[in-house]
Amino acid sequence: VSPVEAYQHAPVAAPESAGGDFDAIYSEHFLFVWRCLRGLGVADAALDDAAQEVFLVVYRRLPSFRRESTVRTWLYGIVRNVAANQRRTATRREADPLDEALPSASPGPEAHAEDAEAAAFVARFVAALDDKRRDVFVLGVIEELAMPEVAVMIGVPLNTAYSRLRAVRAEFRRALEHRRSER
Amino acid sequence: MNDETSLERELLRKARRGLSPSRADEERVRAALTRLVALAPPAPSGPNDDGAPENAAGTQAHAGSVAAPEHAAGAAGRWFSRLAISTALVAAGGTGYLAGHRAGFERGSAVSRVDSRPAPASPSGVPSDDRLRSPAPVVPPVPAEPASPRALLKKSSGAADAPDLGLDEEVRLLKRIERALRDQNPRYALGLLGELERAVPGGQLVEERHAAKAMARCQLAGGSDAVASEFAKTHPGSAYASRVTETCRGGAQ
Repeated sequence: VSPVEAYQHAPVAAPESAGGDFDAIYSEHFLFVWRCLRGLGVADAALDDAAQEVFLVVYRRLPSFRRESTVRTWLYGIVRNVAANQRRTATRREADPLDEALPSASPGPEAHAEDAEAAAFVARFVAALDDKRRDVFVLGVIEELAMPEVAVMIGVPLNTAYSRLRAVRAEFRRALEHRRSER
Repeated sequence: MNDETSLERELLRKARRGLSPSRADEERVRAALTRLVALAPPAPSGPNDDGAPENAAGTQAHAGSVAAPEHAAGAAGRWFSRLAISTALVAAGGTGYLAGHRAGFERGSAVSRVDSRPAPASPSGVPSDDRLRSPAPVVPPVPAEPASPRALLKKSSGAADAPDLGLDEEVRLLKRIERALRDQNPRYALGLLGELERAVPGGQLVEERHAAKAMARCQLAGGSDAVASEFAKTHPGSAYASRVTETCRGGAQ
């Protein structure tokens, strides 16, 4: 799926904020977009680009908002498309002789080492999840959104969302125990 | 559901911090968005309007408040032209980059052309377009390379004009990458290289991609002889070798 297709398939919905001002959306939701992109497996080196892609879609589609869902729900649909596209590309990308020595985009100087380590652990855990559980983990556990909102965002009945949350939490707990036992 | 253990809670709290962007991340993306909106060509009104997301300048009719220098968009639209393939992208130091020797890709033409049309002011203040219009270093034109099996496959299975569109996209993104390198923004350049790989997997300007990637990595790492050596080994005799070496030796351009 090309970026164009990702853009074309991005759901068109509605922000609840009056005016739908782009700057306001950017300022209010940049953290959410960035963290979701990372949670959904976008590589550090591609984060800037992915975040831009998300907000460019927002910029283009803002005039056609229909105010039928929250901004966050709308954004997450875009984020999910962009991240899925990025993951698929990363998976099928041919080996590049220059990739080996590519320095990873390390956390900024603000990032504490423990935070970075915890983030890496969570990212590895999320990377191993299937799409359904990944969505619930990112939104319900990392972003701590209420399950009713999560259910709407991913388009499943509330009970299904809760069921997935329980399963993925149990799995996370096992991963955490395993990590602790190895230390 | 609030059944987190304290261990879980603590780890998640740290992970949230670790996954969060810094203020610099937010500002960098905002600045890049501003440039994109300002520099991307106005989107045509037809069905191709939605092109790549970065063609978002077409939304200028929208009253969104992303700052966009008024003078830039139109000229930039002309600037991102089909002819651009033979326009030299020039390093800040004036050394040729993506020089016209690749002109052979453009429908068999071996003539290196230079875009002579008015160019937009650089958003970064760098007189980029003077450089872009500077004559490319004299590089003997090479005949068009035989199409790779991959390219042939694309031609046979895709729309008739698909290869040209891919090349246009490749050039357009490489120009953005070049700007990012001039702006000393290697992370953004690497992100764009990822975008390029997604938009035009493989592509035709492989050497250019590798050169840009090597320079971005050297900027990011503050210099790396290993990267320069790797590039030289992968592309012996490359026209970009000196610029890569220079960047990797100095850690910046």
